[in-house]
Amino acid sequence: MGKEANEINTSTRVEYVPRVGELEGWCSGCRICETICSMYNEGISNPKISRIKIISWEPSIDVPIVCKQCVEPLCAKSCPVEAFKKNDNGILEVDQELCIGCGACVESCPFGAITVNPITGKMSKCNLCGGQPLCIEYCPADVIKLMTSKLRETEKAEEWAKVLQKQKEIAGKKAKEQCAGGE
Amino acid sequence: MAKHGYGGKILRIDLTEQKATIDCLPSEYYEMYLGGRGFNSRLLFDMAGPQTDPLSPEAPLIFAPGALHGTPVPTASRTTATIKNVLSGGHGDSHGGGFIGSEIKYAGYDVVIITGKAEKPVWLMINDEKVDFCDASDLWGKKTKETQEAIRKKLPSKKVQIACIGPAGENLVKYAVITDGVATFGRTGVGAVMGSKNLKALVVYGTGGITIHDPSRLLKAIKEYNNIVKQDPYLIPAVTFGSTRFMWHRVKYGVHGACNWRLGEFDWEGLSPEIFREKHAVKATSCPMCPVRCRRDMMIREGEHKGEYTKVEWESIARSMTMGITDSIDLIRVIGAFNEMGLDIESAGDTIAFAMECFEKGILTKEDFDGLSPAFGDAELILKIIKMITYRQGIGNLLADGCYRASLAIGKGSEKYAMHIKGVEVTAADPRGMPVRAVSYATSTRGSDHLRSNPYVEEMATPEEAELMFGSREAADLKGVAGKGRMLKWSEDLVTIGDLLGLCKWAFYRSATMEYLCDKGLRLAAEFYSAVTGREMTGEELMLAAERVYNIEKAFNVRTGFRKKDDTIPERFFTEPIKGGPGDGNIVERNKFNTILEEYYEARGWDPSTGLQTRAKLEQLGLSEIKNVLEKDQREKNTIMLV
Repeated sequence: MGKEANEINTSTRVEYVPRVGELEGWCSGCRICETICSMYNEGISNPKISRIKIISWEPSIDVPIVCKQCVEPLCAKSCPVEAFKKNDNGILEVDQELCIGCGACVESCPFGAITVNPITGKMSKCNLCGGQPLCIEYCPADVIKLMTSKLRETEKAEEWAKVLQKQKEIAGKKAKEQCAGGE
Repeated sequence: MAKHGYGGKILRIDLTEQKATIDCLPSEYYEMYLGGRGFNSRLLFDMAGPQTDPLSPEAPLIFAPGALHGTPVPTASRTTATIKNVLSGGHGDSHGGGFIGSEIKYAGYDVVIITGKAEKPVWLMINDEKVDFCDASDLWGKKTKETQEAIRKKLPSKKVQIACIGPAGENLVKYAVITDGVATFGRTGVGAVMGSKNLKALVVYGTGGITIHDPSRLLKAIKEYNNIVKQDPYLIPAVTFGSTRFMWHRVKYGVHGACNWRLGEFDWEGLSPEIFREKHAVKATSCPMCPVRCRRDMMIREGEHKGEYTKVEWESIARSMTMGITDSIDLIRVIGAFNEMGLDIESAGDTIAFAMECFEKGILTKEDFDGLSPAFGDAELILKIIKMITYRQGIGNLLADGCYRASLAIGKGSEKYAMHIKGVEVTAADPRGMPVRAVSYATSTRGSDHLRSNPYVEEMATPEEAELMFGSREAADLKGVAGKGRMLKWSEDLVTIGDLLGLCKWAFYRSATMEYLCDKGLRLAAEFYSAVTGREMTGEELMLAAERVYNIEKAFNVRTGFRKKDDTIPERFFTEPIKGGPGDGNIVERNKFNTILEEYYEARGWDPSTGLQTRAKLEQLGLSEIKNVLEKDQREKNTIMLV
């Protein structure tokens, strides 16, 4: 998946893909992703320093928020000390030595996907765990996926195509019924 | 240096002096009791005695997250709140699966002990080492959800966790709860203790974290657990239906406990798992770290009450049947009211059912209910009684003390309709026809309780397994007797492990087969504990720690005055057969009950004829200090407490 995504040459990212219409098809708010992310990337378990974060409100709404791995990353562009550096896998990471904790990236990211460490005040963002994100591997609801915009584009188009097809079928059936009624 | 998996410190809060002190637990507490309920039971034993009034300033309210809570271990979400039991006067605790416990750990604490009484209502803000005592006069009187919302508005960070009481706790209703918005500490009156301290809410924000000894070993074990979730036939319907699926179990055996524990046949179709799934469930949600996801918010989608929603768990459906409710919309409204007021659905449900039966029998009259005529299943009326209980108005003032005390005050033979054990209202399923379940309710150290043990293993153990583990093939037979006492002891210790480590008693300590149960509950639990803390433990060693904790609670109860005669069940179960359904005519046979009880005492290493602990057993468990306290009490009071 990761390899294929790279070949397509658009940014690979962790994406929330709920199965709409299924009670078990949504993020359940369990926070397994948050604790595993913080444990793996920061060495301690605490959702507050996880790079994926679950935003919740009532009734029963939980939404995972994580870096979109933008092609033109506003976070990196806004950073006054150029602390955003590509790692060996080509993924942007925040260099903890360089980061001054100014919060410019937090402000510029449209998705709120930058994480602020409450102790050091420095920033971090999703690095895809070196290509196989653990949040995806351990999500019990199976609703976060490794995605590229290109793949997502096709998926979304297919979803809409099915809706459109159904609409046309219904419209066609209705038209037929109306014709039949006219006799 | 904090230990792996733990916060490392404890926080003592004195509300009278408005002072907070930080110190550490003795290291042997970590070795002997592991965490959660283990720490708490020992601390309660140290801090409260037979003379302590549970609602007095000196009585402690102790919170301890389970040893694995706050880490990614699946289902490790449980926190124990321990008090001197408001209903029984003995050991009391309650367990919740929300986010308050992990936040306590992230703030650096394994235990938070609250004593004293604030002069005026306060709420506590714990921000790592900083503790603020904040004025709660504007919060006093607010319902649980309003309280949560009002506190969140005051604070800059949304990532705080809040445990609060509702009006019921403020008014010292003896079965008031503490809720953290996700989960509820429901039983034994923990909310009343918080209210008695003038404490409206405990708010926690923790910036530290839990270190893990061996993350890759932990990740491997998590995968193993996740595979079990996908395979164990017990857990598969749990994902689809949540706990509502227990209805099928009740229907199969006719053990609804309907209409104050009388009927085995009940008009349950309006409360079926399918109805909740199709008409009301919003989405599968979960406690922290749980891959099973059995929680459901249930919403009313049409009619006058469209848009109202609340959390509905199985026991709230069960106690609704005890109150005679047959309609899912009525149920959601009633449960919503309990949750908003901060009342324990178990105790409140039984107490309201008790009042209804008293009315039915002519013991209570219309005048007692301010002109109302209570009838089983009447939701409007139940909603009114809930209000009367919460604000202690009229008959509500009596009912707010629980069905046992209410029956003593009412008299006139009402005692036989009060369904309680040691003053704590009966829960779960009707035990008639299943003698070991009756005994398990009786031996629970916090008063009537179905979660203190797991006698349900009798449904899935094979005769061969029963013989191997409990010394008799009969232990695998629902009506059997031999081996059941040993099985009960084993299952009490097994599920206690869950409370020490913070694992779910349902997702972790229930299974379709003995093999799955032991694999999860013993081997994997030990693997998780070892991977997280770096201290190698086996399943047997976990069982030993659990046994130790159970014995401390028993000793606390013996000091309080409980004896063998108190390890019993409501007379109704012995003498009045279930009416209707597949269990029609079943009672709890007294001779079977006594035989199992004595076998249980023996399996525990206690004296079968008195049910008292033995010096030898306490010493063997390394509980000489507990033994010495009992010895001293025994000398001073001149009553036998130890054999």
